[in-house]
Amino acid sequence: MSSLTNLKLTAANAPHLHSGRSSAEWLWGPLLALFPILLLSLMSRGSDAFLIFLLTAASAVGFEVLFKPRFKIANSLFLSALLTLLMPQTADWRMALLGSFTAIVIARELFGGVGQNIFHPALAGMAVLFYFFPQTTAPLFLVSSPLGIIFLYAGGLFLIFKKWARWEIALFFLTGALAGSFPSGGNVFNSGLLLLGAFFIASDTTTSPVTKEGRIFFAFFGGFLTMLWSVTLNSVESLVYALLIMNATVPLLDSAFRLRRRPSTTTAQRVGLPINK
Amino acid sequence: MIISVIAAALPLLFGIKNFESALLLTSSVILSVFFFELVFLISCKFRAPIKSALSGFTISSCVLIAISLTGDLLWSDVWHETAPFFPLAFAGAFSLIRITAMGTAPLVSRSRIWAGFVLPVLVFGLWSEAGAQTFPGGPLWLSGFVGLVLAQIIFYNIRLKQSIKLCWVLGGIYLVLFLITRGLLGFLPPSLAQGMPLLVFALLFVFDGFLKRGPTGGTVVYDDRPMGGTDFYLYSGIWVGVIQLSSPAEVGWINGTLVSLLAAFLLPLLAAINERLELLDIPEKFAGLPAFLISGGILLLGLFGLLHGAF
Repeated sequence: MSSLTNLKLTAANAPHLHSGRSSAEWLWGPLLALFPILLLSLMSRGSDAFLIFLLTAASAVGFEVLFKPRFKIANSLFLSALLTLLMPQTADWRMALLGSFTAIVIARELFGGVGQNIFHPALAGMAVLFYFFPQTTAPLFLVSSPLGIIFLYAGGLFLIFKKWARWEIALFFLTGALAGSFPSGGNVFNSGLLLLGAFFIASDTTTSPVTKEGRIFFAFFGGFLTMLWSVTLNSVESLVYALLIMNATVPLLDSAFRLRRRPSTTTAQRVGLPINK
Repeated sequence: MIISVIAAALPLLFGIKNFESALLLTSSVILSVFFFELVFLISCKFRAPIKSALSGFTISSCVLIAISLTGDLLWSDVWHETAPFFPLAFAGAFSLIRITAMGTAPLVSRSRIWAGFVLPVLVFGLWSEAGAQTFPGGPLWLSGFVGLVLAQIIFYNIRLKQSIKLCWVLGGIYLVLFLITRGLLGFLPPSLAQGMPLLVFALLFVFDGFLKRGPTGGTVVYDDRPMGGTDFYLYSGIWVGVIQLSSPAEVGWINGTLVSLLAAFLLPLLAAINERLELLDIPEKFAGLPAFLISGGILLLGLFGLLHGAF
């Protein structure tokens, strides 16, 4: 009886349409979009960057294998790539291991795995790294050269075009960053870090709100806080902390902007349901 | 009554090392004893069972003595660090009396009362210490607030819907409390002003008894009605007073107002996270409290990072 009472069921009207996409596509797609900028950054930063990425990726996959017998490595590789790009050039093997452990085990698997985490795993990993290695103000592995910016825009637009990322998050994140940049006069549209945040981190479907209004609020304030605090913090810290806090507001935003959608007329008519107007 | 008098006299006996501190503490204790009696009389007026009122009175007196003795051990040099915990002890004692005397046993079990009083203290202490160790020089009150809200949600089983309603009332109470205590600092020594939150909330507590009796029955500790949450406000208010007044010189008007509102806003924020966690398919070993504490920890890292830069 207790098992019955603990059941969590979601009631929805039939028919249930399939989007035609597989989970593998959702997992490998963002990695594909991130690959050009990752490759460029690794080639520009030399062998150290390669080693750090390899170590981060290997440990992330290793942690996933240890934690879950049936694993899917695409998300772990994507998170490893993000972690590497956000790490300073002075990063060593300890940072790689600690970052991937926090991201994969603590921020993702303890919450139930891919698609269930409250906080973005890469952000949680970086926040822990800032705590244990506070003096990390060296330049990042991420390359912000003109070619790097082009790769970031191309990857981001590819994600939006394939509907793996929401356009409103990227747009309003950059708008919020622009609004927050007025006191400091920082550059928004050709900042590699902000573009990475807008297209690849903030737009993560698991850790962003479900409703459009919620996403706009989330993205705008994420960008705004990032730029506002970049006056006193270094830019990667402000991005990580601002988005972590906005991740925490997602359940509240989902509750505040509830879904009010009804079955579309065509769907309802097709299956012969009465239409409530 | 005898126990209360002894409790009131104990700090004075042990406090000869620091006369001013002894005087202040004794006056606080006498004040609290006065309110104990007042609450006792009110509970009699409401025809509460005398036996349970007396037992509640005895329990709270014992708590007071224990706290006084503990405070004395730590007293001589660190008065400002230990003094804020005395109002907290009194607040717990008040609530114990009220709950016991007014016969609200179906509402709150005895073990739950103790859990609601003792465990938040531990959580608060641990989180404050962790915060101090993690970010030396950072805003210490932040970890205290996050710990407090986590404890409130866990031990009072607060749901998101309730928390949204409570948030506004709570924010108002925090703000009023802060403004009163901050105003008092203008013409009272800080150590004396530390006792004022106790007075304010004791008054609220007493008048609440006149206005409306607590809800009876039900399994949820505090339902949607704000009046049902007297003890909740009492704890929360005293906590805020404790945290804000532990370093009054560092808390300005604007910062204090922001802190009050932030503390109130953390409640729905974490309540929403708690409800989201209930929907997730978390591994059994980490479901519930562990996952919630981890979430709180990650949020605290983010808040600390931002506010550390801001302050």
